[in-house]
Amino acid sequence: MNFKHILSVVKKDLRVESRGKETVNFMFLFTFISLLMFNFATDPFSPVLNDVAPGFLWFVFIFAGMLGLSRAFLKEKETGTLQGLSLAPISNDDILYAKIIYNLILMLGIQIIAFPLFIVLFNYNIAGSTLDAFLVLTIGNVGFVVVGSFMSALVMSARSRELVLQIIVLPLLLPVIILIIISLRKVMIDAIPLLSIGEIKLAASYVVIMAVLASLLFDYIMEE
Amino acid sequence: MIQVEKLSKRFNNFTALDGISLHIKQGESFALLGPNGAGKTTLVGILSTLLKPSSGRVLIDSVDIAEEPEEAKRRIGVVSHNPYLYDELTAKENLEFFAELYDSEPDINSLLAQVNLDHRARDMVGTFSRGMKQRLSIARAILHDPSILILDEPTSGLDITSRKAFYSLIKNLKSRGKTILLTTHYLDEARLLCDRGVVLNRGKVVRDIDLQASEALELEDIFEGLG
Ligand SMILES: Nc1ncnc2c1ncn2[C@@H]1O[C@H](COP(=O)(O)OP(=O)(O)OP(=O)(O)O)[C@@H](O)[C@H]1O
Ligand SMILES: [Mg+2]
Repeated sequence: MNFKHILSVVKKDLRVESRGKETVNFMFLFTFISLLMFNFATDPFSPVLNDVAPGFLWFVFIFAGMLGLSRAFLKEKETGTLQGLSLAPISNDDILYAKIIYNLILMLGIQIIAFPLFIVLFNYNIAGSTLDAFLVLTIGNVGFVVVGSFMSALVMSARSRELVLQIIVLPLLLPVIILIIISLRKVMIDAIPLLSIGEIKLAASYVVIMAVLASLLFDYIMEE
Repeated sequence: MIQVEKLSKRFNNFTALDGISLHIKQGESFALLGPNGAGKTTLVGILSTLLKPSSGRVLIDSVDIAEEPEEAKRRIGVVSHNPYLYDELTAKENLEFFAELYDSEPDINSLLAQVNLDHRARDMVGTFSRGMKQRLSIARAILHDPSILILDEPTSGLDITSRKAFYSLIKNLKSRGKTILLTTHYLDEARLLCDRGVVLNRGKVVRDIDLQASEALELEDIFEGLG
């Protein structure tokens, strides 16, 4: 692992994104509109809102993340610059790590804006600690990005690319998705502190395992 | 120095390269000719470590590319039809980025001057013409001072003027002792830049060509005989 190389690629990706902002704008717009739609679709005084909101919040992040992820590798694959990267003496692992870090930065950026927005729009009263809720979402996003970046690399060569990505990513992410929803409910509704939630530890372990698997398999994917 | 030994590449059941052997000496410039689908890009892809061979061996300056791919990559610069540049970065930023990946610290301004782009250093590459991108692509390929330059149809899509500018750059690199491997569909291009070469067809070397010999040679005649 060469941190200098990883950092160079992350810096490059952020710079490229900062010029066009295509991905960020799209992710943010999606998040904002979804939150707004849900806001109008529910009765603010109904107890149902309280019950489904954590799941909804997480749902919005997953789909916003999906939009970002499908771009991270595919754009470089389509323009051929991924080959240009492979010509340089940077290891495939480092390219993957860089993409994961880049995606994490995008997701955390969206989360930092969307989470407060959610609380304000819904006038939501989190029963537990707000920080814990934020952390659960963060762990979920990390899991999503790690698994998603890897899968995104995996399906790079597939034909109907973005479609394939979503079909493969969702089942693999299902354990994380469910565990995060349960954890979010426990924090946001039952006011249970983060460290006493078993599900979040399970989710974290799953993510670590997937990360290790991803780095082991990635070399096979990059070579033809 | 490029040494290719009994190299084969199969894609599923299709044999794209079939037992190719070549020896290209240090400082030599070598042309790979052949009709569409002959296997030129596949061979170049293996030499530049983008593709893994099915069998056989490649040595770059005595480094086995299968054993030490990163070391081999440091000795090779690649220019192909795709310039491998980021449209959203400036010319300078592109070169700086690739220099970081090669852990090298070239004089970016002088590199840009060499390819006549010093006046466009701070412009986005997306605004460049194809000829300018191709010239910048040369700068990208030589910024780590490789001993070998691999050029895969580098002038396709360039007009005469850009092509000439490109040729003089390559000639200059040749005079500086770089080993050059060029694939091309143009015999005059091969004549202009290379000492000798081979014709590839259906994954096999079918003919050696001395490009400096005076014998009249027409690629059409060679290709027609291939069937
Ligand atoms: N990834 C791949 N999968 C399957 N077949 C491939 C792949 N890459 C190349 N081939 C096949 O290998 C053969 C050689 O292709 P290659 O691109 O090396 O030819 P080329 O000599 O560069 O042709 P051109 O002059 O058109 O550039 C072709 O028949 C091509 O269809
Ligand atoms: Mg080709």
